[in-house]
Amino acid sequence: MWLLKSDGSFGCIADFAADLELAGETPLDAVPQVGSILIAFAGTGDGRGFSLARQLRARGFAGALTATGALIPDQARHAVQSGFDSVLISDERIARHGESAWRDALTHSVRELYLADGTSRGSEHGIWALRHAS
Amino acid sequence: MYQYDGHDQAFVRARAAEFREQVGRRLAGQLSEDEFKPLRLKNGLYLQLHAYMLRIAIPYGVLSADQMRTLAHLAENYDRGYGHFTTRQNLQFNWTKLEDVADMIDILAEAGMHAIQTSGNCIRNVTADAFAGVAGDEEVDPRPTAELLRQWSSLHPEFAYLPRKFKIGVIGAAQDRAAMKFHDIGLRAYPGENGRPRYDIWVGGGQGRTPRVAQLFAEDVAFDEMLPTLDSMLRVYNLAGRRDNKYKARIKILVAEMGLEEYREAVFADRATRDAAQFALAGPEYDRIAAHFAVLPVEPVAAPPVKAEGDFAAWLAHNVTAHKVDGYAVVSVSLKGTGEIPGDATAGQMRAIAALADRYSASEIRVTYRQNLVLPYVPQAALREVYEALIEARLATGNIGLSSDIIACPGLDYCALATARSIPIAQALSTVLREREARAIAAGADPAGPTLNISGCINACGHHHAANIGILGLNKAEAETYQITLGGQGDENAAIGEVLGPGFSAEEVPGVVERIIGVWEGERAQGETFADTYRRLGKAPFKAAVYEEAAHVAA
Ligand code: SF4
Repeated sequence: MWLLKSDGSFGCIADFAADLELAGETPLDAVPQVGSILIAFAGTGDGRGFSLARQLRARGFAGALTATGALIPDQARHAVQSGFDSVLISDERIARHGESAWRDALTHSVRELYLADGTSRGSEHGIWALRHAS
Repeated sequence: MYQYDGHDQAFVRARAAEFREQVGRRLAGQLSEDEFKPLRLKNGLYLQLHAYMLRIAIPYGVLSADQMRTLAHLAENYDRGYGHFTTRQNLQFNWTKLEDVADMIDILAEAGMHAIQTSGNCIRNVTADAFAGVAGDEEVDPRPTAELLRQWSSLHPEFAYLPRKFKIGVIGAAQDRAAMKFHDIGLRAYPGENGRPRYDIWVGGGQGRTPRVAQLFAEDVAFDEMLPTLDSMLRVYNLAGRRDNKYKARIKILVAEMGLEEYREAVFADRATRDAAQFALAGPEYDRIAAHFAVLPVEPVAAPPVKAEGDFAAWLAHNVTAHKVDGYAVVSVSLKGTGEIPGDATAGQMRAIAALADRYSASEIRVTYRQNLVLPYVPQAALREVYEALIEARLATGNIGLSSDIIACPGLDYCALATARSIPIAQALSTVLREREARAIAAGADPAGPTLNISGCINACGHHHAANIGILGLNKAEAETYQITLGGQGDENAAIGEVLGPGFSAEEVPGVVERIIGVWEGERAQGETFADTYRRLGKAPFKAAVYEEAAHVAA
């Protein structure tokens, strides 16, 4: 399996462990008191995991947050900008989507947004912040 | 109008490059069609019956003359010489090729345009009152709010894979010219503090299989709370909206199933966890955007009285609206010529409008949700010249707001989801209705009549639920059949039409519509609108006229 991190680093890893694994559709009652969480997306069109990540961050979860499951390279940006630190990718998806598509996922997508959210782990500054810097 | 700065320009260029790369990976087989589909939809690209359709965003319906010429160029070089203006103030090209689309997007980006989120399960192109900034009854210009929301929602990382599409509409006047209450979220802006608006926020409007008029979610919301509230409204919907059935996935169903009160509580609970300070730049950004719209491009002038007779007088009466600046008029250009396809314009017509905008309307054009165009700043002294030029361009039909100003979706002639044709029905009806209007005008009578909208399937892109007479094309037992609804309204008195009874064949529709109008003409009190008559009488007399008399004749 492979790991793409929010800083753009990308590589093959032998194993991966998280303290807690959640499905992307899990309703959030309380913030789990763990150091790391893996959130699995059920389908490419199912964006609940993005909101779950942002809710966790908004409610103070400061540990490691990793996205996995039915994501495509184009969604890595969405994951990182919603509060994930990394995306865990299966060998099968790397083979099908192409290693380079995943390696370049964060540079080939639009990097700047109008509003950078406080929960984002991405490199965007936010165009509004750039415009009103002074 | 709003002008892109370097940031906006870089943003649409980056999106164009990203899309080109996505198409490349699809063509190389690195993305399955299932994986590519949401990506192309988010860029307005549909696979239709005969070809790919590209839907281009015209945010809140505002276009420059140069942008209109860019659309004409695309129509000539990448389509069959025409385009179709939609009920979402967008433009569709129905005959594009996948391998051309990236080039088209590049050309659009150079003109400060894009196709971002004109489709797909995300926040769609934001719509607004097409008379913004020029209407006499306006309290707040909705365009700065719509532009702010365009920026906030564009490529939003969290709200790009929602349960279903999400439409936002904004108005700032008592009269609703944007069907605001038929949006997932509708905003009504009022004057607020420091030049920034306050808002009533409406939720859960929509058409489709389960039509709903929006409910009031929160009243008199301060500017600083608007975006944090929308942020949480979308989050609760993204997490709790149904994903098991596409017909139950819109926010209207979530609100109905949860109840408005519980939905509201969930939204406020979420908002309490969010750092409101991160939205603080929305204020200065609103001010920056509003400055683009604050300066009117025209100065008041003395207006000579316009002398009018015949067709010109009729055109003035229906297509020209009072302007908030003395000496000017708002000119609506009808894309509903007799026997024509509603909303279609040829490249030549687009260029003719662009030339008129340059010469007479501060180089600005608007697109209405009723699928017409608007020249917003025409000097009254030039109305005659504009009218003559519109005759040349075959765009001088004086029927804005009349029954022949029909809204119609593309239907089975193009749309892969359609169950029946809508275009031929619209064409046949426009001929019949226009004859009725011409007779009234010739007799010196009021040609006004019911509004009439046509959809080619239950998705209701043709707004049939919101028309006085709605026509829905269905497929029953392998044959097209048209169901009629009565009493709908898309304006500030938003209402959903009621089904009249069993449907009719395409050939029967014009006769049935004439009979319905005949009942109204017979029953209406002096000056009464169709909607008011219908509300007073209910459907019984219409039903009797349409079904019983028909049965009698047949027997
Ligand atoms: S109403 Fe139906 S047929 Fe018409 S455009 Fe929408 S989806 Fe297509």
